[in-house]
Amino acid sequence: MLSKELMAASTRPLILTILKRGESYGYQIIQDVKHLSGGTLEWSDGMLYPVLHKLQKDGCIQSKWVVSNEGRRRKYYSITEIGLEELQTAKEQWLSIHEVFAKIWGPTPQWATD
Amino acid sequence: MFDLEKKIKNWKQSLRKNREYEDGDIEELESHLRDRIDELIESGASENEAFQNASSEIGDVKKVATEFYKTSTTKPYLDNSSGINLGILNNFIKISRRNLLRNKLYTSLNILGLVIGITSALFIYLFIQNELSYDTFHEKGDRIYKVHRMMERPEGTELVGITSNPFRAGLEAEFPDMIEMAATLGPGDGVVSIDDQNFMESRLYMADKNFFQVFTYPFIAGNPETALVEPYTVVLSKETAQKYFGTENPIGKNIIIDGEDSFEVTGVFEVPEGAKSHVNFDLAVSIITFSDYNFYNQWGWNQVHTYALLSEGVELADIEPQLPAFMDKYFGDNMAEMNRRIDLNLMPLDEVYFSNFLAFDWQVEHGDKKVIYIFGIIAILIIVVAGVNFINLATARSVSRAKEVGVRKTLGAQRLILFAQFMSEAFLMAFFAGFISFILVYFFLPPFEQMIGTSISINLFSTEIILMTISILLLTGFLAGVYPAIFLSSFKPIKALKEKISFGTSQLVTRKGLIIFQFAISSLLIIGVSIVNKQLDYISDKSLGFQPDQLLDISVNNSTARNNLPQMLEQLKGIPGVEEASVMSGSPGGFFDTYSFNVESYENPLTMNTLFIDDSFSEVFDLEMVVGRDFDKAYSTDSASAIIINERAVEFLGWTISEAVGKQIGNAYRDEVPRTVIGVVEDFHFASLHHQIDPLVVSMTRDYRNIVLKISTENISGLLPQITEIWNNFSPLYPIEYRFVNEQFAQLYESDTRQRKVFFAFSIIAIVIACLGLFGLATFNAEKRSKEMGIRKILGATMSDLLLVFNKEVLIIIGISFLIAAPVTYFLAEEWLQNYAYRINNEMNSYIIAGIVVMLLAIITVSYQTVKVAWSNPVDSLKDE
Repeated sequence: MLSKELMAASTRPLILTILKRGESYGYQIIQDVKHLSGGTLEWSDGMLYPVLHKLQKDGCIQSKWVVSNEGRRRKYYSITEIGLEELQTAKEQWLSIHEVFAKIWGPTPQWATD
Repeated sequence: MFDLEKKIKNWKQSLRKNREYEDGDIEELESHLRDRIDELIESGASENEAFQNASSEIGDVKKVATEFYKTSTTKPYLDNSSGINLGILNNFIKISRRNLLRNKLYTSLNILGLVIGITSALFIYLFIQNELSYDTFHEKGDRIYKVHRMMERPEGTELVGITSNPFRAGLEAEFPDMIEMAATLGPGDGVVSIDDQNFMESRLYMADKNFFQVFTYPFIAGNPETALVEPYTVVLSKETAQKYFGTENPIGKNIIIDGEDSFEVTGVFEVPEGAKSHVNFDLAVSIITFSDYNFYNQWGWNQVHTYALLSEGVELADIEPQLPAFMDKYFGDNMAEMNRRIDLNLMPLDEVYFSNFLAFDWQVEHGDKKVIYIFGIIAILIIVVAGVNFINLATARSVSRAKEVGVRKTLGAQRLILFAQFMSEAFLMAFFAGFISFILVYFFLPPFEQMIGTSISINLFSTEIILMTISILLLTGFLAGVYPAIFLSSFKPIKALKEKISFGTSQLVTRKGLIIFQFAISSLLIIGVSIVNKQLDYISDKSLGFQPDQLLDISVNNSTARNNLPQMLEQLKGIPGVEEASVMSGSPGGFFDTYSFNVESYENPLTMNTLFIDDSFSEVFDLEMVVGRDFDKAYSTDSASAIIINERAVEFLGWTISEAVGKQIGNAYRDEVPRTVIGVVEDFHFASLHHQIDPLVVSMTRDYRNIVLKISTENISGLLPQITEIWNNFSPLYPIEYRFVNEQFAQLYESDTRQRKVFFAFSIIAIVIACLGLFGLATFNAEKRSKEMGIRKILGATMSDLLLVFNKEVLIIIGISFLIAAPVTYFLAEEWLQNYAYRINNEMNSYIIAGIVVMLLAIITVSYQTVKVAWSNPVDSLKDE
């Protein structure tokens, strides 16, 4: 299980990434996250929606109601320009952190060989 | 059995309790839940398991709600900078909507009351607008005045509608600077023949050449300025032209009137769509055709309407001072001799329709301004009653909203903002109600038109009506919302949160005062209805002086029938069941001739109603002679030299009953030699009971237009075919036209009957709204006092004890409201009853019955709620807390 803080920090870029691949709706997004993380990322499903709404409020994503083939109304979200920009920034930040950790925690830390 | 849908519904309900969710949010979560459930079921779970798992995966709805709140709210209620801006307005509407939806009973009672109130007010407004639209389509309407004669009588000033033909030229000659032109219109009827076809035209009038220049009826053919200049010309209405000539051009065509003279069609006019007029005619023949007739030239021959078109810039006040001199010049001798002054009155066109008090205003359609005032007041009262409901229900609910106000104030809401919040709730409700009302009015307009008996020519979607509706709504919303808004927003936050808000006495007094006011209005209307009903019943039951239900009136509508009258009468008399058969000129309850009479010792002719009849006069009508004798076959001279007058005529002529017999009276138009009065007949109502009985002169002059049969009422259906058969033998081409005289009289009171219905309907509406309000209050009251009831029940109170406790207060309130309503109603009823020549006494029992009705309605309303609460187990109400 991830810590609460890390979960909170990673949710936004995670959702944006999923939406970058194409528009999707709440339930599907959660399925994708579960699938991708192999079960390491476990949200309480309901908590996704406030985040989606906050993203929409910030202009990162937009939504529309669509009636599915089974006649169920679903709210589909898609990413916007602003969202793409934010994702880019987030990606750079996460990767730079990743790089640091990779260096530090790598098989043979560089400083050890010096 | 596990019911998935029900579970989902309940789950949704639990979400709704959290105000942070907006509509779309809940739907989105539901869609999620269903997707998950579907998947779980597919993978083998039962519905129950699937639901349990799916909902727990979504998580604690309250926590999610908190997150939603964080995302959706940036600045809660703390906008101190700019007061009210658009965002806040949006928020007001949103919150108002939620508040209203949360209290369905309260909201529906309020909206129902408002809808009924606003719908009624709109209908009344349409009716009033319709009445006010009479005679508004003439371009020069503001300069047109109708000329009336004005006489001082012991009963007051009498205005007479008809004047004589020379007035037109006289006015034009005497006031060349002030009167641009004068016009004449003379009502009449006649038979029009085109080729072989005959048409009975009841609206065939005479008009002078100025008429269509003063009254700007649009012409679709011909020239309004020249159409009636020549003799033997006629102008037709569009409908009449189509009836006569179809699609052919009617100009230049000839029509024969009364089988004698040929008139050339010189114009076709059109009444604009929806336009209303005090005079309605289908044909107008040029009056100059009759320039050789006495009526055309004699000042005393009153049988036309005269209109004056004042020159531009001339005011009524400019010409009025000079009118007495005009009358002195033309009527000086006459007035001196009669020892009675006659003056002229010029009445603005827009008042003519409402002047139903005019005497001898032939064939003029009149409305009643009083009816407009009464309906206008009813509309306002209904709106007020509906508004009071709103105020009462809103303040009664204040206990439950006190906490809300407390919390909001603690969070920094200003009083102004709270005030605006409560006002927006009121406006939202008013506008919602208004919207529904508008739809209702749209769909119920036809039945309403039927009820009031006129078509409403006003477009519901005109800017004027829509603006009016919006102002009614704004006013209603404001009046209803302002007091609760001030009251609710005034709560002190600490007090509201910590203690139970209890009402100060002033609060309670206001609320009771408003209920008293509502029920006073309702009582007033109900007493009013009862008195109106009694008066109208009285009129329709009042003896006319003869038995109308035994009389059958057959119109002699063609010359073949007229020529065969004596033989036809003989045969009709032979039918068993026909007790008497008579021929006459007028028809009881319908049209009576008015002629000028030369009366002994009066130099100028006097106008009186006339009846030409055969020797069976008193037998048909069952009338008694007060003095003298009836016409008699034994006196062969009766048909040429005898005359009978009624008691009213004796009085009118200034005689006593005993000196009347032997006096000389001659019909100025029909009699070569004056006739001698042979008898005075008791007064009987040949016209409506609205009017006093007019002077009537009866002679055996041969001018018979109606057969009146006195029949036995036992076998009417058997009689009619026999009568029809005889008619057909003598008049094979024209079908029989008959009517029962009692039905004819009933028709005279049609407008009364209609007003009665409308009045009745609106009174019911007012009391229904008031009861709705009382019902709402009783509901809250019963809930508030449910503990008290529980304790009372435990201590042994029976249902009737409880009912008494709750009804006592209501009865006192209704009693007070009745005491206020009764004297006001008494005064108003006296005013209204003055309209009738024959009226009921303003008796107490109408008031008592109305009081009991209102009281009963109130008790039923209150008891319904009380019984519901009282029936519940006292344990339930006492155990909580």
